[in-house]
Amino acid sequence: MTTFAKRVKCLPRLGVGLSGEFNVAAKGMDVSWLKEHYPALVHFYEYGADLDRGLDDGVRRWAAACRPTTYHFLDINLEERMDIDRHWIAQTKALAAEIGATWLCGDAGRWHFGLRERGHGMLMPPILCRESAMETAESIMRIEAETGMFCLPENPPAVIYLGDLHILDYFALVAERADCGLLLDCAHLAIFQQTRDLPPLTGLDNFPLDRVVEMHVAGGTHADVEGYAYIEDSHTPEPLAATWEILECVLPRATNLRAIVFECEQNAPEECLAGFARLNELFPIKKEKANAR
Amino acid sequence: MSHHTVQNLVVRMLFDEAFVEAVHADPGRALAGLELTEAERDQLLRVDRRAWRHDALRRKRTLRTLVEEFKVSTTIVLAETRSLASLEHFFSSSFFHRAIQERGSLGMAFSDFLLDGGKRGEWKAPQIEDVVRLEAAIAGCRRTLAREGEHEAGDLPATISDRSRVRLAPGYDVGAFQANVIPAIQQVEQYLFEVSLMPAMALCDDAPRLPALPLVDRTKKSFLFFGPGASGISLTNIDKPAYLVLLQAKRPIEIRNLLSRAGVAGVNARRAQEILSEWLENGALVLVE
Repeated sequence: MTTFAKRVKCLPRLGVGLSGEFNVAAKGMDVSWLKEHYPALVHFYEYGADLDRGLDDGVRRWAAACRPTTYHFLDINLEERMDIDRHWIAQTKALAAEIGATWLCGDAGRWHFGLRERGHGMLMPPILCRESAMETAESIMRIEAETGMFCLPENPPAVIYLGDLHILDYFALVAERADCGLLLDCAHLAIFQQTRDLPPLTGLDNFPLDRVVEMHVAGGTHADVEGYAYIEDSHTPEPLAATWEILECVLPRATNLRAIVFECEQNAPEECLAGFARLNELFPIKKEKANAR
Repeated sequence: MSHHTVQNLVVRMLFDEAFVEAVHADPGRALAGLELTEAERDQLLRVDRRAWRHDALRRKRTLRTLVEEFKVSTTIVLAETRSLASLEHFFSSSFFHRAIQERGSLGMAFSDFLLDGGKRGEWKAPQIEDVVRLEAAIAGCRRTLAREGEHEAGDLPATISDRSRVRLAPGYDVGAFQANVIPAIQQVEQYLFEVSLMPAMALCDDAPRLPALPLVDRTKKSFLFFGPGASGISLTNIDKPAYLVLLQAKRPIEIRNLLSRAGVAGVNARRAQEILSEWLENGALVLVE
């Protein structure tokens, strides 16, 4: 197999995109509507899917118009070797192919505890230790080998992170071992730094930013439980200052970045236009334009 | 693989505040027998206890999913106890903790919890045991079907040796229940439909209440066959001989042993052969490689 550095050259630049999940248009944003009304703001659609629900009409319509997509899985525990089975890989590959997804991605850790069954769903970060990172890397290598697609692990959100590693060190280990690309979620990183009482940019200096293929930006909300402060990954229209700070620090150094997703699909489109505009300014769909500026 | 152990503990602590307290009060005892390093144990203990409580709706969301599969059983329990805590107690029970720690099914653990509550007299409705067993059978069928996929009835070999092994196909099951189990379920479903028309009516003093359920009749049995239907798992009444033959095939069994056991249970040998042929042909029984 060729190295990540070679493989990544074949990936197209997708620009700024919108996230979505099954039937999201019924309660939030319809990506095709957004594209029709604001063609300069959204260039691809990241569809969050699980095998139970599969694809919806919204993503099918978008893909039928030959517009770019990525497939964000919501139902696999990358940290758990025994969760990765042939059936999941084959079905996921088929769904991704049906919408012409450019790559696979998703939060690395756990989407469910134990079995993939009703009632077991709960997004949890990996235990931040070397042993877990090696297992996650093994899962990614298997998925990439059996699907022939990039599989970009994403740093997940949480209120409680356990393990002795910084989350960026964990994902650096994963990427090195699996020789894979990465999805850096700026909002989730801001959440992590807050839980460890660290400044937003901590750990980025030693992080392999050349492996970052995709980034996520989303709004967060400060919350507390009985005085214990944390950031809720609320996907509101306005990202926190720390999230923008991380994005703007990483952007110039992420030499293989291909896509930024604004995770705001649950809001009214009008509330998110400013965020989309700012992201398009920072990461234009055509790289030449960016250089010209 | 101790990070897996830690993950299981995280789930248990997120769901069960009493367990968090137990871990802090006596970690040696609460975490006994688990493969944990000293450092992992310390990390768990260093988490601010309030952080485990950050999602106040976690139990209710999960309970809602569990209740969807056990809606009749849980309605009977709630009608009797008038206490949501009676069901939420599941998350502090050994059934929940074992399911998480041993990577078992939460739904099936919940059915064991409901059965156990009946046995221990926490809910006394005499209908509860059979209703839970019936809903658990449906839940079990859904899981085997999802895990193994639907079996498509194909051509059978021209001759089948009596040493061949057979079993119920994925998604199929049989059970024997007290005679009034289906009328009881239908009555609860009718009640649930009525309250679903306006859920807030549950707040009213004159809201509909679950009527008295049909009496348990253990003098007669209802033999039910469960199988994949157009909209989930469907139920069909079968006769006692068919039940006794199919019951032997819940696990893979040689045909000669199946027929022998059915004979011991009182099924005529020729009738048992007919049942075996019929259910092999319709795909509910499959030959095991």
